[in-house]
Amino acid sequence: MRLLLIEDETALRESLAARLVKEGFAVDSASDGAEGHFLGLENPIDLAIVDLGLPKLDGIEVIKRWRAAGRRFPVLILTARSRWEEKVDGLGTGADDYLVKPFHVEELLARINALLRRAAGWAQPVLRCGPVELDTRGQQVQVGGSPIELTTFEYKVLQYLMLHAGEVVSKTDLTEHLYDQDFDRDSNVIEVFVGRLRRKLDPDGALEPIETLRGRGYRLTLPRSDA
Amino acid sequence: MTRALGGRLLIAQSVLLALFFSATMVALDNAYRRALERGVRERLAAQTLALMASADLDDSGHLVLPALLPDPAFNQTASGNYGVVADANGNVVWRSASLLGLTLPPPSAPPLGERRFRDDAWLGGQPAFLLTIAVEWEEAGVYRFTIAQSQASHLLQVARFRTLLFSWFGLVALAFVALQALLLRHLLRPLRQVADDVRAIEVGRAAQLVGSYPAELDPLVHGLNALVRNERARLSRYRNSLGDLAHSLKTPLAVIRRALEESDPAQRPAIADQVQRLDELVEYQLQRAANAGGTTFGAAVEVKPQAARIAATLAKVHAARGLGFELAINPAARFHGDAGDLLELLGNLGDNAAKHARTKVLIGAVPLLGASGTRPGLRLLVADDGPGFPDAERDALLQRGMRGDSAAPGHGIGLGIVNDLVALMGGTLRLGRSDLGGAEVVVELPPL
Repeated sequence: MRLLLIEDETALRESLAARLVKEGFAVDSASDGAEGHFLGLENPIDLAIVDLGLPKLDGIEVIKRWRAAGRRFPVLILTARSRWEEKVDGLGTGADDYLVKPFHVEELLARINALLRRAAGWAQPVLRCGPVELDTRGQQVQVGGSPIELTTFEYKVLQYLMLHAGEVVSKTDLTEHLYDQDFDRDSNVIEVFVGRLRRKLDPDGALEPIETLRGRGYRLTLPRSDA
Repeated sequence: MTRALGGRLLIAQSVLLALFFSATMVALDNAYRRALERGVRERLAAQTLALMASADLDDSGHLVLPALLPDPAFNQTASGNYGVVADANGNVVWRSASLLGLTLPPPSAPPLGERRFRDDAWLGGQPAFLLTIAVEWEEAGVYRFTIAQSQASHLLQVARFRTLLFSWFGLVALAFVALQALLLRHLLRPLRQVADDVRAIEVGRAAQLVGSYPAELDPLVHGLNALVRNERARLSRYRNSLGDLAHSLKTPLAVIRRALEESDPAQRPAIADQVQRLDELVEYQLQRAANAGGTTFGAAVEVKPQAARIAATLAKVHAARGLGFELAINPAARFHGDAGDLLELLGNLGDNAAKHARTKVLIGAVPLLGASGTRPGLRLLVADDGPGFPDAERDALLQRGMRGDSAAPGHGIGLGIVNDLVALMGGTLRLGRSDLGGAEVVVELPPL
């Protein structure tokens, strides 16, 4: 999942970005509204974290312009101004949730995961497709009730495929959403990861959870079960 | 309260008018009577001369007059015109026929050749004018010719004149006062207009004094407009600088907390507690300072759209829980104060309710009608179907910074902020059990 973090306080931005990367997110960061606005328009962002008090372009204005330009990714507002007037304004502009500074980073992570799931139409923190269960809170995956070990990147690929279960996901989608702007797009590393994921989820070849559509990408074939 | 300007002016004008009219009437009455009296005097003098002309000396050198004079008034009994001629010793030598049965008071003796006029004589029980002239009649000696005239017709004339004078002046005075009252109403209308307009701002129907006022009121109108603008501008400036302050205080707090989360686990709890306390302190004090409370010139805020905004916000924030937000807002419900304060009330109460609700939150509002002429108050109700308030903690919940349920996310100072705000606006806050089964908070802002 690719996040955009716009925060003008360098110490906070860098420490948050480091933590988010550690959690397996691809993170683009910006230190002012104008740059953040540009990144949100240009990059395939899954979610934006926007501080409201920003230099050059106010956070509210950034969100307003994204929405006007048709960008629908969820937006989480960070604000020091905790009056409801500002929350109502922010969420009325098109943001989806807010967090008042200072906050616990766990709270932030929980909100990010909830927003990402909601954006993909999942109501529960545990995603279930067939026998595969992915718990977004603990980043744990089980197949048929037995836990399996995945690397951070394998987990990210699986989460993305599950969030878009039944849809065709191209290699470009995966690279763009799982890596930040510095990633080398020509690499065929995605194919390697998908191959490893197939082996871990389906060691005996009975499940065939991920199908390859030649020239178009991948699709998670397991039926989504939200119950 | 001092008497209204209009009443004062009307009374002052009426007193002045009465004084002026009285003086004028007295002067006119005097002038008229004096003119009338002069006429009487001249007529009496002419009659005296006529009497003299009809007198003659007889052979023995005594003055004689004909029994009947050419003027019939002197020949008719009680006609009101009388004549008497007396010699130097006061012996009457001639009386007019009209004097039958009446006695003329003895005339005083004026110096020779002079006239003496009296208006205080009495004749047959009636006031009369009297004119006496003493003349030396050749060698016959001194004679006094006296002409008397009853004042009856004269007094009647004066009375008529006075009646006329009073009725006309009375009519004119009444017309004057009526006109004056109309004029005053007209002149004072701009003042009443200003008063009405200020009231309109007070109850929130208008934002500024608009419309045209007389030049004399311009400074007042401009002053009031500036005052209203300033009050609003001051509030938003204040808010903004508080917001900036919050931003500058809380971002470092966020940094400290982040650094802390990366640091030595052994030291974490102590510092984390302090950060938490600092954060809540900053939060609470900033919130409190930003509350506008009841502003005199605050526009009336429609509750319905604001409640809808809050419900939409809360629905988004608590989207994962799938709560139903139900609004029961009377369209006439108005909040007389700052829209931000209303959002603060509804937001904090609604957020608390949403945190504890199982399936739904109800937000209601109705106007509280007071005596006529007062602006209505407002009753806000926020209820949920959660577990409700623990009875033992109800009072403590209202205290600053207390948390009803530490497990529920958030700062837990929402209810304290609401309590402060309601107290600032002279309202009351009540915690209870709702019909939905959970907690219910009722805020009542009284009519003003």
